[in-house]
Amino acid sequence: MSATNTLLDIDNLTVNFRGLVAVDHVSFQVEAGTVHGLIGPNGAGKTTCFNLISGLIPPTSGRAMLDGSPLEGPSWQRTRAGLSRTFQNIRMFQEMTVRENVMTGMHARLHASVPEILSRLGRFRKEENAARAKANELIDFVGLSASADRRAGDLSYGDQRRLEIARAVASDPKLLMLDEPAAGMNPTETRDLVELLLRLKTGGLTLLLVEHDMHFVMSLCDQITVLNFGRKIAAGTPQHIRENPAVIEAYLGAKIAERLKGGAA
Amino acid sequence: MSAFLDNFMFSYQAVIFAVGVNGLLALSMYAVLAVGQLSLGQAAFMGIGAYVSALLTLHLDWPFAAVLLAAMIVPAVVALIIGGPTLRLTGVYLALATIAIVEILRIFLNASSFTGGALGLSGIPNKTTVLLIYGLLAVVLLGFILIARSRLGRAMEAMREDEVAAGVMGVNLPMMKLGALVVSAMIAGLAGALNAHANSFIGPNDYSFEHAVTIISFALLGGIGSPIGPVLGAVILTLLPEFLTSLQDYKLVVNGFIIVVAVLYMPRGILTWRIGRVG
Repeated sequence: MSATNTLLDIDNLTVNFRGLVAVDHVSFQVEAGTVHGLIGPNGAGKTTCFNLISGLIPPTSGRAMLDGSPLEGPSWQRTRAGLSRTFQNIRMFQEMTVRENVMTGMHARLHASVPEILSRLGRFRKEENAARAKANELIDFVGLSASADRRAGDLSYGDQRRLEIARAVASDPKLLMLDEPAAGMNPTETRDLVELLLRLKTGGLTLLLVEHDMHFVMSLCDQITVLNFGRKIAAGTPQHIRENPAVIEAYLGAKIAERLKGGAA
Repeated sequence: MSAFLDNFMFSYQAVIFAVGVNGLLALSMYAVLAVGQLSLGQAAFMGIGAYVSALLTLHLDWPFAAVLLAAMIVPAVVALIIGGPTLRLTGVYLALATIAIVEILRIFLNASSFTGGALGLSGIPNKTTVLLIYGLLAVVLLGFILIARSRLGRAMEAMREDEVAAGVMGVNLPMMKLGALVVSAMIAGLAGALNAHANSFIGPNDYSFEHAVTIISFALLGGIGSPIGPVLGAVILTLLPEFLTSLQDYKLVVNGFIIVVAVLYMPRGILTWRIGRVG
């Protein structure tokens, strides 16, 4: 037994779309308190993997465990169990303000009943005030304080990405899954994002991320799992992955990999 | 002054009642649209409420408060029955299922002798007062405003914008949709009962598909950014024909035209203001 404990345990996850095996018996573990990268060429099944874990599509076989309990049912139940995620193509609630977006992220943690909401009595006032205060903190944390009352759809692309992270963190997740968080960002925004994610990690959050920006992945991740054509082809530390011939071949093609090997020799 | 008021009430009582009833119907539509669903069955829920209330009053002479309660509960049960299977699916299934109940209700009401068949029910005592209609409208409107400014209001707007993302936020989608449909059926049933006890006569053709479309046009014209929009839409579309009496025969054409114009040029309706979601 290792000293670390497994937060997310993916066991032989498989999904079959009309004969196309998009995710093929993929198994990996995410250790608590680490940043875990899920990488691979386009179409490798990374986002499908995310959708399986977060309950947006049902798996054909296999299962996922979060903190020792099976992750089951539709997405909202998994959010309640401590899973949270962002999307590759940002899915902001555009008409809502930045603060309302973050407060929507807390939905799973708010419990005021309909009579309490209608009467403004009981848990309602206390809970709503606490939610607003926590939302302000999170907005501050991601550096959007000046925009708290702005319409989310009016934010710049990079700011929307940060807001999406704040909204995902608002549910107090055990595991935060980020689907290409740096996509479309300029180098400055990416640097800020790395810093933001490292602060989240320092705060004790475990991260699982899909990303194409290799520099970003290598500088942030403790462990990396590589997928290609739905299968896991490698796993290990960034150093290990960088030198793995199967990974180089998957990304660059066999010929170039061969030439690189020849050049190095 | 009081004579003037009496005179005014006598002349316009029907319109004043209609504005209040339609305001309630617009809010019943809002409940469903606010979670991103489309129901074409509001007329049926209204009709069920109207018939249940009229039958209870005429045959069993129940007290009016109990009649109103029953007129809310029965449509709610119907909504539970049709909502359960359809709301698990996304898209247009609720709209299709609710069109079906409008037709089923119309055919049933025409065929059943218990409900007076095509002749409908007449001699329903007038028990509705202006104060009652507008008091209930105010209570329902206030309820929606309080809900809007809470975790439920945020969840509703989230569902309307992006159902998948709302689910990932932890919003129990089927529960919210079913809740919205049941609440909407209750309000429509209440409106039907109030209307039945204001008009003394109800017939099977009062709750047709046309009427369902009119109810949607209240909400679309007013805008669903806040619960106030649909009520405004109901006021305008109920009063408009009174001002355009010469166009009476073309009322439906005007309604259809307004829907087209609203969709094309005012996708957010007349009242574009959006209610805040923080309580």
